[in-house]
Amino acid sequence: MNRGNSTFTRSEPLSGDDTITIFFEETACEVPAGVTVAAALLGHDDHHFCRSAADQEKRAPHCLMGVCFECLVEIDGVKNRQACLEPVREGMQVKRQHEPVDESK
Amino acid sequence: MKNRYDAIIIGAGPAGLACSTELADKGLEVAVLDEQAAPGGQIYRNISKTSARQRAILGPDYTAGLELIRAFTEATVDYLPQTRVWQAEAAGEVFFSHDNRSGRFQAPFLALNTGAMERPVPFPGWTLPGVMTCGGMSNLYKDSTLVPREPVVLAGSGPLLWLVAEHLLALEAPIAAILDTTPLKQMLTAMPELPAALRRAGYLFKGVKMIAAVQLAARKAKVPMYRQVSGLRAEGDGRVERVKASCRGRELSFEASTLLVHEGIIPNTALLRQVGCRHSWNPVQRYWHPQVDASGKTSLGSVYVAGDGTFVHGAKAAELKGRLTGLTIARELRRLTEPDYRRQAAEVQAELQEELLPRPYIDALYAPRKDLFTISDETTVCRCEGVTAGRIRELVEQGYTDHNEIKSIIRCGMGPCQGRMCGSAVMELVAEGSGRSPEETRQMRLRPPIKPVSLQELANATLGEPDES
Repeated sequence: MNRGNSTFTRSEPLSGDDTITIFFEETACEVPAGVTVAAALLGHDDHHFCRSAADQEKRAPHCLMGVCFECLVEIDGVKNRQACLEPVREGMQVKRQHEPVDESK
Repeated sequence: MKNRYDAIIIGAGPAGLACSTELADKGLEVAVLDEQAAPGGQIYRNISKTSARQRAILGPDYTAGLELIRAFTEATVDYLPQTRVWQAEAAGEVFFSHDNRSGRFQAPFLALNTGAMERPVPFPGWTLPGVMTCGGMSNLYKDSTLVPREPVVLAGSGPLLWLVAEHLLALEAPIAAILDTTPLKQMLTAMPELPAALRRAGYLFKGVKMIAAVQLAARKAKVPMYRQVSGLRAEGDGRVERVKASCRGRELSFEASTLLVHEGIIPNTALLRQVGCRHSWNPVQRYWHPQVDASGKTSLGSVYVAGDGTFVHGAKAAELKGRLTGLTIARELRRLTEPDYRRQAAEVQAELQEELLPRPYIDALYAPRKDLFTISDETTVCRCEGVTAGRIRELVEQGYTDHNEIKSIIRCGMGPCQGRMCGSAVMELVAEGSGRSPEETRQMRLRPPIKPVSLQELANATLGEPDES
């Protein structure tokens, strides 16, 4: 897995059996099984999850506990998923969320 | 699917776990709804899956949760993880989203154990990727063992700042600096609360010892530490590259790719405001909290709140408050006789009182400092809608003192987080500009759904009359 874009690193090694494959922006990524989508992406590309609805600024997780809504991604075609609350699943398709968020209103 | 219960418990942190275990022990049918994939709340997050090394790093205050989880796992409850509650009603209804489907449960009693969140404080650059909260860093480590591998700055005030510093030092993360923003004079203002706190000297000593040990470890690792820091800001092109601040007239600048901030902990009242229970203002910690009696009963009677959602007292107190709420609901449902209730509740209450002794001192020592919300006009306050402090000040000058009005005029608080991140700051800007205490102003309302639910999901939902089962 390319960790070139991440400023985070695992502090414990991961055995090969404990990984699954998800797709981030259509690129396959080996990620640890059982972690949240936010943790999986932060270990891969930590600085861009979505753009703010109002001014399209790049945003990334801030609170990692479901409050700030700065980690919104599209998961398997469903928008407005909070990456910090969603566990990874084999084959999951994750995309950055760029369009303004309207569905929640 | 079953949808009628004796009680619905929202949240599987220490309060929710203790409350639901207590109710299940009394033979009551309870549903437990929680956002996370596993029980534990934020404090005991991922506790059933963390490694031996993670548990060693996180220490006994973390592993203390194992017993609570064990009891919960053995109890007979309908536990729905990964479930977002988007509406609760005083009549005993709870609407939620699980696996992209919405549903409705009903019960005569609700316990909304929503816990706490870190106080969001706007500063220049706080929206940049790479700015996270200390609690967020802790959650990330608990979930995945991730730590920063490039320079990280920790800044703020409160025990959690030092706790996260302790963990990162033990993990040999490259800490560029620790910036403590606590004003020295708060040591003095907190003094009158010290005698009560000293009645539990062991607890205070533990905290003092922890902070001293972190400072020693930081010195050994040659991590610079600064006290009485102000004027924090993050700079960078599309992400954090530098952190700047002032320390008693001296300008500081650090190259860093992560900034971890922490300015205290406040109750997470989003669901509590939506359900409509009455709140009070605390002038020391400067936050709104629901009005509850000793059992956690709110102004709505059948709606209870336990844990840090009522007032931030920490994990052990949250567990005790949850237990007390469980016992009280069991009595209301006549599964506990009055004498049994009195005896069992008195035991828990005595333990809780002991636990709370040091809190007034800690609350005063780590109170939000006077200039915490001295926000420059250009700083973004509402992250979702990109509303600056200057625009909010203009409206306050025109006489608007109600966040609800400010929201409808400039969309401040109208984005996906629904004011969770800007609420504290807007309240302080209104207080600053109008001279009115937040007590005299209205709290921001939350309209359901308080969590994003797609129109498709709402259209597909069967939210009609609950089935008898």
